[in-house]
Amino acid sequence: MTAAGVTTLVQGLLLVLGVGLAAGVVAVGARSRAGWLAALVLVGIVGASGYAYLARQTAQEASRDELQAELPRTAHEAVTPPQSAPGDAPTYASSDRCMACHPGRYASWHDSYHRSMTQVASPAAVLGRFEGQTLEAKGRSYRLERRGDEYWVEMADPDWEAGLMARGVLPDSVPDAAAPRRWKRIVMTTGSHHMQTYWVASERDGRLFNFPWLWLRADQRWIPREDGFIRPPEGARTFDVWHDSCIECHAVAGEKNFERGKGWEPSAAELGIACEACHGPADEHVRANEDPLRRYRQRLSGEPDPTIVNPARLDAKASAQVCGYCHGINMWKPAPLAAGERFRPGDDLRETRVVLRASTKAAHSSDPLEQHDWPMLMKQLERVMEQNPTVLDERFWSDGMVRVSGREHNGMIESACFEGGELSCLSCHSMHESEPDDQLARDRQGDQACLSCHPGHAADVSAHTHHAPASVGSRCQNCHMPHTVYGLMKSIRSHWIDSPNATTTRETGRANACNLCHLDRSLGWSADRLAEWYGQPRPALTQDERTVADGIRWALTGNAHQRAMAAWHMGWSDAKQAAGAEWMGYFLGHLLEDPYPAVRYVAGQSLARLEPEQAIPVDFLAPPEERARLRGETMDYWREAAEDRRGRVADRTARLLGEDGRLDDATFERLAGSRDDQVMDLRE
Amino acid sequence: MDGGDAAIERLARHHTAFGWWLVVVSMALGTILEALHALKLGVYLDVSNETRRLLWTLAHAHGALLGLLHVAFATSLPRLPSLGEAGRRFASRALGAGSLLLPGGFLLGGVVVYEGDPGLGVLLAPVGALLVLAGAFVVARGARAPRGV
Repeated sequence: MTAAGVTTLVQGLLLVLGVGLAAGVVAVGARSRAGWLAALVLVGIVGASGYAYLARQTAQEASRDELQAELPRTAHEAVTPPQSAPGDAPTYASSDRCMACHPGRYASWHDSYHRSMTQVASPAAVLGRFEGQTLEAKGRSYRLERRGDEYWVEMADPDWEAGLMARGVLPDSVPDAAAPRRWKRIVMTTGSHHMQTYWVASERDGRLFNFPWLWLRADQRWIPREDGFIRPPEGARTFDVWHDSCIECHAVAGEKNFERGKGWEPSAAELGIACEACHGPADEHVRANEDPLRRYRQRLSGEPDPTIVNPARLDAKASAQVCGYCHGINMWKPAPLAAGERFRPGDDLRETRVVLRASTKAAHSSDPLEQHDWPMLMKQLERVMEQNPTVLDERFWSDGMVRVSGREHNGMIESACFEGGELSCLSCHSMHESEPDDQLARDRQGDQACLSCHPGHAADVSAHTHHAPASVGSRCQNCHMPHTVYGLMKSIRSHWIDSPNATTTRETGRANACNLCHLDRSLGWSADRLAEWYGQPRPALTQDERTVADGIRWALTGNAHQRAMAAWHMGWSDAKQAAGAEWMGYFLGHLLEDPYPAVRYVAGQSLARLEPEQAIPVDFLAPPEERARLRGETMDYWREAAEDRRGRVADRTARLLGEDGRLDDATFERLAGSRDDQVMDLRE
Repeated sequence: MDGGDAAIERLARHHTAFGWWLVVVSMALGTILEALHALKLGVYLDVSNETRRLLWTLAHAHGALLGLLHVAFATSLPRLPSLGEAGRRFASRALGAGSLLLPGGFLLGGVVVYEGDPGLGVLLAPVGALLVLAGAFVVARGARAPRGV
């Protein structure tokens, strides 16, 4: 007899026993019609309970239909939760079903930004203001309106624009006046933490087109979507379709299901990153655990429940891959994709996807699967690079370290702690025992995460760090996970755990951890410290690298990513502790006229941290002439703070100061004139 | 006062005392629960401890109401014409045991919880519920007029 059969038999016996016991208790004392009547009532109660149980089962079957009915028609049609999985594939239950047994876990997930990554547009979900205003950018105008609980935008017909794109015509090349206009209802939202963007549905094929504006949550304002990223400032408007790529990670089991000739048949089990995105399909788990005996047997055994995946119980690599499927750069392998095989939590990601590694380590991997995949990866890369030669530069530093946010898995897998140890995402993060920001585990804040594996450093921190134990220079992450990744209009910690190295900085252009705190010191200064303390070889440096403070050098001569990184660090409290703060205002002022809106935004944010009650309010989207004025006024305002009239600065040359403590304008202009204007397009 | 009346009187005193003490204990539990609310203790108020909060609230409420039930039983003992000696003994024992097991089961079930499931102590609760139900039924039957009256 199967386990399900035994369960049914036990349930049946319990029911008969319950009915018999209830009737018996009554009948034993019953000597009257009232007694028998009471017995009948009891039997009725037990019978009604049984009926209610069966009714609940039926209701659960229908729950998915109800979920769909709640969705606005357009979003429902665009993303249809699967009624049943093909063949023997496990089916999804939805997060609503998890709540009854795991209320705490459900609540912590519900508070997270994973949950609200994708939402049906409703007053509870929409953060942006729809107040009848008109937004204008790149020659297009958009009128926003709220109608009751619905959000609408009047815009150039996105179906018409998609038609132009299909014919190879840039929609921006057609004047707004010539474009057919439509009122489109906002049907779905993406994001809720830092920024939120919105989607409208095609009237032709149900695809969701991006409403090309972002709502910046901290600033409470709309900005053109392109300006929220490091993208070529004069580039064309991006034209995003949710089904193209978002669906795979911003929904549970999202699949675009595109076939040439047939079109789109997208499906998703649930919008947002819900329970089953990490725990896998849970329908079997839910059904099995409707049996209380099984539940208690399972709980008391302490063994993992085989009907569900718990990433915390997987080995480190498999656990990391659960996150890495989305927090990584990887590509489908053609054969499994064609065969309908999909990655599910607990699987080896590398069986269905090629994890893109740009480091030389990957080429020499001893892992048989990676060795097998390497030629395929190279072949796929070659194909991609034929169409887009900068595909790697958009995502990686030249040594293969990932440089864009949301791709932490690619960084972590290159770390020695991952390769040789037990490091996984859950070594530092927790999805349920953490605050929604960063989701760092409550017991792994600060140095704790590192010291749990490297306790030796705790005894004498200064011997290792050469900094005071309580100082920011002794914090593990500041040296080994510096903020060299860009995304969400800020710098983010690298998840490739490494050590600062002046030679690497020289070769890759990626500032090292020493200079990201000591913004007022040159690369040469850091190279000397690293040589003295850790025996690193001193690289051959240019005059500017030896003498000019790295924070200033990157701000004036760097590419857009390097400038954004310098600007962000000038607002970072740890760097301000190490390098002082007020002198930075002058250089941040210079960045207010940067060609990249994102760089101007980051500079403005750092200026606001320098002086919360800003004497000169800045707007990173102001017209060019206004930006020039803001730059000039801001630099004038901070000039005195950047100079050193009292002889307090140890290294005046690094800070571009002359013998008299005044700014050396000639050097400033020379450096600013050599700005690296290579086109940057970071694909965060 | 004959022997039967003395026995009823003894039983009534026993249930009056038992009932009021059960009320005292349950009220004390209620006060503790209020203190847990006042101090905002996560062990009681966190969403992950929702099951514990429900079970201990049930223990408090059932204990207090069952205490009052015992007082009502004691008060009505002289007015239960059809309840013989055996019925009184059965009702007394069933109500007494049930009134300990039912709130006790809820209380113990909340000590160790498995997310949405109570601890095994909760198994005492249905046993207690059946005993209270049976006792109440026997008392209800005893309230009817004797045959031929």
